[in-house]
Amino acid sequence: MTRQVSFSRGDAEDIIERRHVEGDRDREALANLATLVTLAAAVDREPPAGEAVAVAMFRARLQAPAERVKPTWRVVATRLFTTKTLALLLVGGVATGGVAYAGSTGRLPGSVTHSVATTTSDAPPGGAAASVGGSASASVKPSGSSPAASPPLVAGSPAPAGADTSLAGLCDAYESGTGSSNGNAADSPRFRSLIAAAGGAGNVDAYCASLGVTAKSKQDADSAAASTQVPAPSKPHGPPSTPPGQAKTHQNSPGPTRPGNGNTNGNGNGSGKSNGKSNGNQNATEKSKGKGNGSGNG
Amino acid sequence: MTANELVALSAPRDVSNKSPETTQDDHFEEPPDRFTDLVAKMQGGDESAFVAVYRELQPALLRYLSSLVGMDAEDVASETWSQACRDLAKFRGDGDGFRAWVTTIGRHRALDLLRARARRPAADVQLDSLMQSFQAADAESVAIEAMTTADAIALIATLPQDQAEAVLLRSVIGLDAKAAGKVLGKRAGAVRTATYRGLRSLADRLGDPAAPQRCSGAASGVLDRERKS
Repeated sequence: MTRQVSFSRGDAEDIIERRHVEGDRDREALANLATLVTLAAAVDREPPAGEAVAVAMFRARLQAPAERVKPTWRVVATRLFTTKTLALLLVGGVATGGVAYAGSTGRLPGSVTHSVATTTSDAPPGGAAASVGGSASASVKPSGSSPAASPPLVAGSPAPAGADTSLAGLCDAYESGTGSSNGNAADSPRFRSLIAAAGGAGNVDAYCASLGVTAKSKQDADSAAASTQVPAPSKPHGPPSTPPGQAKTHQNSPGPTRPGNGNTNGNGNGSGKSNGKSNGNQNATEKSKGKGNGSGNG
Repeated sequence: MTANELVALSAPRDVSNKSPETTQDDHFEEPPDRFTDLVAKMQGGDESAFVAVYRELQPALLRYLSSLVGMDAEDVASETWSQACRDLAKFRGDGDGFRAWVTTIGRHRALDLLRARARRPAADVQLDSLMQSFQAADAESVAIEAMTTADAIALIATLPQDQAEAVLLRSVIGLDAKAAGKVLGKRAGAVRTATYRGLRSLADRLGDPAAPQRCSGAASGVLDRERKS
């Protein structure tokens, strides 16, 4: 330690990579260093301890199926969003009063998420188209739910049934509500979607009449709802949604792809992304629904 | 193993992979090596390949980890292998990549431990006593001659942490400056600088180069052998 050893960065690189050190600068010091580095990296004579434990870990890992290769934040987020979305829709129920109502009238929870996903979870234009399709069918459907009124609609009945029946059901409730208790029904949040669909509180009666659901035809509506409930359960499970959706939406929008999108959302609970979005989009969706209905009526 | 035994050692660890004439570029020109094959087989579920990989990597990992966490290196290494086995399917790369990958896992676990106990590895009793013995003995030639692998690691571990890690990752784990930089979250140039400073400091501690030392012959012998082979 009497003097500073001097060598270059290149020498250091040579030593650390265990190459031959050139030159004769501080040869002894470099040789010592080389020895030190070689010693540090020397091979052990005995196999390392802990091998049995490590092998057990390796085996355990192999035997465990590939369950958790994927569960990343994305999947977790998907689950969270799905649950949250469902909870918000059921509890909050602002934009989805109709759906909630439909749920309360005995429709399956699966169908609730389905109908919401249908109307909300795709891109704005597609979503508008889909909801237009739904409401347009709604205008014909309850009356047409009797067998042969309009073949294409019957074929298409499963997919948009959620929108139909929920609006029809809302009409039903609205009519009875305004009849018995004065006007309270109009203020209830659950009728907002209906009012929006009708284009204003004053139009609800006319709109509901166009749906074929009035206080007078209540029994009809009930039977219609009952009849639509039969196909309803199959809806959330997917398959039927696509062809009917296409058949139906041909009415309003030429492109088969967009309606297809709208309906295929019903296949599952949707991806986390789309559901998460749908939370924020509820109002917009409602608007688009209203728009759709306006055009459907006119 | 001591420095004297090195004389009788036929070849240092890496000779199978690296010829003495290697250049900076040899990492890119090498064909897939034995270790890469082992890693691939291991990922395919070959237990014997795993054992071979473990036997090759574990000693180096332990040495590196001991510079960080001292006596807890074995525990940290065990955690490291546990996590490596769990995440094995996620690994993509060759043998060198696997070295770096496992080392990175080990480093994170070691730093976790350090954070948990909030003390530096230099406070380790083993290292303290070793430092004292190095400082007390001014006959450095004796030190290097009698030095064992464990002594060498302990001496390197007395360096500031960034230098110790750079030296150990490159010499013991066998990473190049770039790969070591990835493990450490640094650029390759910073790793080379840390290596250089660390080696200079070690050279000073190893003693007066002017003093006659038998071990210098040993070291030259190693270097000569590397040159010849």
